[in-house]
Amino acid sequence: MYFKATRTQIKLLLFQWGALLAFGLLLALMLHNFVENVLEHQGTEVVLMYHPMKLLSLSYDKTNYKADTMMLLVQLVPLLICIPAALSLAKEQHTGASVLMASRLGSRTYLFSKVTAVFVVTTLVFSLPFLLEIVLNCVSFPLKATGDLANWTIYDDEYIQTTQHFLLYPLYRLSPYLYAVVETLRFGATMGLLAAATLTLSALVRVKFRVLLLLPPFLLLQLSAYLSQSQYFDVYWANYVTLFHGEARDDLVLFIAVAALLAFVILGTLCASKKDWRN
Amino acid sequence: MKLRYIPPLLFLAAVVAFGIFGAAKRQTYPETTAQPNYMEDLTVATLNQDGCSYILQNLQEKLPRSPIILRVTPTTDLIPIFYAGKQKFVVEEVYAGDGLKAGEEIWVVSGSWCAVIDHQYRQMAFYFVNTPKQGQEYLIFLSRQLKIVDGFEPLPVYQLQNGVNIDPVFSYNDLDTQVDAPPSQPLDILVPYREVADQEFFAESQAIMDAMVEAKHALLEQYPR
Repeated sequence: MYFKATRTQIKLLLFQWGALLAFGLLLALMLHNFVENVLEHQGTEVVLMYHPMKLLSLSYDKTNYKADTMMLLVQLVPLLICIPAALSLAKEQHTGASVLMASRLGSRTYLFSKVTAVFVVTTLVFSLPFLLEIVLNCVSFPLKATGDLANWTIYDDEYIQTTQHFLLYPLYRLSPYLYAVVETLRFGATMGLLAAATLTLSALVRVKFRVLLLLPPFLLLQLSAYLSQSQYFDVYWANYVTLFHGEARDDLVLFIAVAALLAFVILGTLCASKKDWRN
Repeated sequence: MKLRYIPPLLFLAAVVAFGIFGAAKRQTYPETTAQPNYMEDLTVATLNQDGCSYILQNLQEKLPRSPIILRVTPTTDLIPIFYAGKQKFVVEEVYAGDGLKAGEEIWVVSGSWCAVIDHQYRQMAFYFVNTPKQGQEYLIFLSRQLKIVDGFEPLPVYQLQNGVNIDPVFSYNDLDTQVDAPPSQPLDILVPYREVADQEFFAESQAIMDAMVEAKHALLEQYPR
């Protein structure tokens, strides 16, 4: 029942205007970055060309060369997190459809299937454009290229230290392409988790205006940016979800944040499922 | 067809169109260094009098203090990489340095072994010494072993000593030491590599070449084979 309900909800949510809008915006951003790369680097000698994966929109390494795409991304993503699917429960509560669904499926199955569907849809919306960019880059740039956008060579100490500091560095060492795919999925999954947490919040706290639900993840990410201005505490969210990020970071922060969000989603959904859905 | 499938189909069409555009542009990336004898079409810098004086001072003072000094034979040609070059050698004798023994194969990397090819330059960035040729023995000065963070390299990788304004790789045999330039008319700062391909040093005059060869001999005497 849970899997069937989840599948149905995923199919419904994928073609909603919110998912299509968010996907379209991210796709446009990605394509802009892709065209910029193609036009900028065409005609470059292969041996002096940058690695195709380091040119991706999600690549932190690209900020060594041009940071406009990353700047747009870090401003757009906090606003877009809830657009694809996270507001769907609030919408169904407003229309009364949630009462019908809860009575048919049982509130626990309904809520868990809804949370799972929101997670999956948001993950897909946030990762698919950038996965497509990986394919486009493989098709459009020479795969023999190995350069770093900071123009560091393999014997530069900064290059060695920075590369070793990548999250999932062993995977990068095995294959930069596989690393890019996995990290892109991780980026999508992180946004999916934030969307699922917002949905859980909407299950626990009834809001009159759905637009207010955009605030929690937006404020959380902005708080991470604000706290990171202090030299003692670097928790800036973009440092933990972008590719090829090799600067100083505390990965324990990421694991704690993910664990906390996951715990909130699971426990919050359990709690909300005990509520009376007729009100 | 249901209307809700139209936006995804439009997205897919956009991606495919841009993919075709990108695939077409892929043909624009030249691979000069993959061609045989690619260096023939590039230029190299020649050593002038001021540079030679500076190098001659450093040769005896700084190079013998290098952490790793080896007699080696190249087993590959120079392989250009991103703003550097690498070449494989087999160690014939170890004069200085721990952890290396005769018979071992190593990679040596140097930033001065790079090919700089763009709309402005078509140059090998050699520091006045020709690339090591297979079949010759060389005295080589290295600074350190490198940690390779991209992929897995089974052989150890070392960095060529720098800071002496010359690539410290010296042939035990004298290669072509004839500079084809009139006595009063030194070569240009940059010359086509094909004109100096067999020479040991890239010198703007015969006097500079002779000074470099003499300094090399003095250095080789300290590390006899």
